[in-house]
Amino acid sequence: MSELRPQSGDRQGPSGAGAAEPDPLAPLLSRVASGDREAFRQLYSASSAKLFGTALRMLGNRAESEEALQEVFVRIWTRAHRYDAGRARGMTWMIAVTRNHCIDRLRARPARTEDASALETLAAPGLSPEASAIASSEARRIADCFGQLEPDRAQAVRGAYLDGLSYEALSARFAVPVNTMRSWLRRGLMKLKDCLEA
Amino acid sequence: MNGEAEIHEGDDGLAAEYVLGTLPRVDRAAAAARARSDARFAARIADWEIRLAPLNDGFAPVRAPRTLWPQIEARIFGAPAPRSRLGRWSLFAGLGLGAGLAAAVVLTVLPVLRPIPDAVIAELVAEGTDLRVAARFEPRFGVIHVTRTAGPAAPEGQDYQFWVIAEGGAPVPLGLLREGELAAPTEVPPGTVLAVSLEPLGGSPTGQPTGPILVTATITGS
Repeated sequence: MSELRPQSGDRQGPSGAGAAEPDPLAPLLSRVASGDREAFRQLYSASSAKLFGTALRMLGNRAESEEALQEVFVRIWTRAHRYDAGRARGMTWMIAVTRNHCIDRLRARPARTEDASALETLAAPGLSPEASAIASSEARRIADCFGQLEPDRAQAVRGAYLDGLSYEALSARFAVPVNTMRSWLRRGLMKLKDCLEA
Repeated sequence: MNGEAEIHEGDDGLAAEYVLGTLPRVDRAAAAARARSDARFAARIADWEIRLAPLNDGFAPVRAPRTLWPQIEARIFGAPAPRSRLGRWSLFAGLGLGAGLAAAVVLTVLPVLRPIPDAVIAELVAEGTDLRVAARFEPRFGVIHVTRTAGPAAPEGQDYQFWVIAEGGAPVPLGLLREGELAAPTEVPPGTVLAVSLEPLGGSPTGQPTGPILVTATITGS
């Protein structure tokens, strides 16, 4: 699969191997893949706060987030052998597992609940707290590229990624038709990709 | 690169939307299913996960409640086996697999089974083999996902075959367990046995297990 990676040098794959920072989670994940329970416990200690925060933000509900986190760690245990340390940082992979599960839960919800949480989570004005949390150079890169998007489109991408908002919720929030929202996001993502790979 | 990018722009856009999470439920499920069988599409998804990973800085860590870890351990590793070894033997012998086969069966089934709100998790294991197979049944979709998590691949010229055996019923073949995940529609009510047997390449020619049953698990609870 690795030969299918876009060949854009070390700028692609902000989380890829070879970055200066070591990834303490990668060796833990490979031990987990071989059924090492102690490594699994250490992995939980090192990552559960971040993953719980991820679930909480996306689901907006503590009880459901606890349930989701249980399922996420069951998946991490059973799928750790699929993790490729040469490709992504351990945390990147685990957050992807978490987001995927949370999005599956959100999409299974009745639409009305989703809309309500959409309004709630997007109530904060402007560029939201995550902007201030941006630290790594990769994060600055993507922030720069976000800066090239029109502000409402950048905000829509963030709303989808961080809050799990659906096209319907986003189109209601930004008062545009669903199809318009879909093409905003598609074009926005492709523009981001071009910018990141430039 | 440009030509290829153009050809696959639709796929790349779909992979991007999948990662962003905006696809409607049905489209999302279709994309997930495709990623399981299409390595190229799966790679596109992985690339988008990496590309958008810097946004993960927006997720502020929150300490998880202390009760969560024991619950996770219990779900994966289970409580002490509720039934006796003999009980499992009888259950197994009663499955109609044949006495000769049953004699060859590796014993000590250590099921790790927990009925949980949205999925049933089982680990298929047996004494004397490193082979371990994880199964996850999603009641919402009526699909079981099966993966070999430890132990060797099937010897050359042979295949692992996955079976679901309803209580009192005959084994039903659900597919071959090779690299990657096997996903198959089924139901797994309590009392169902999941099993993996070693078969000739391509699977049992008879539709019933012909080789040794290597690992099993029994669905308990409700």
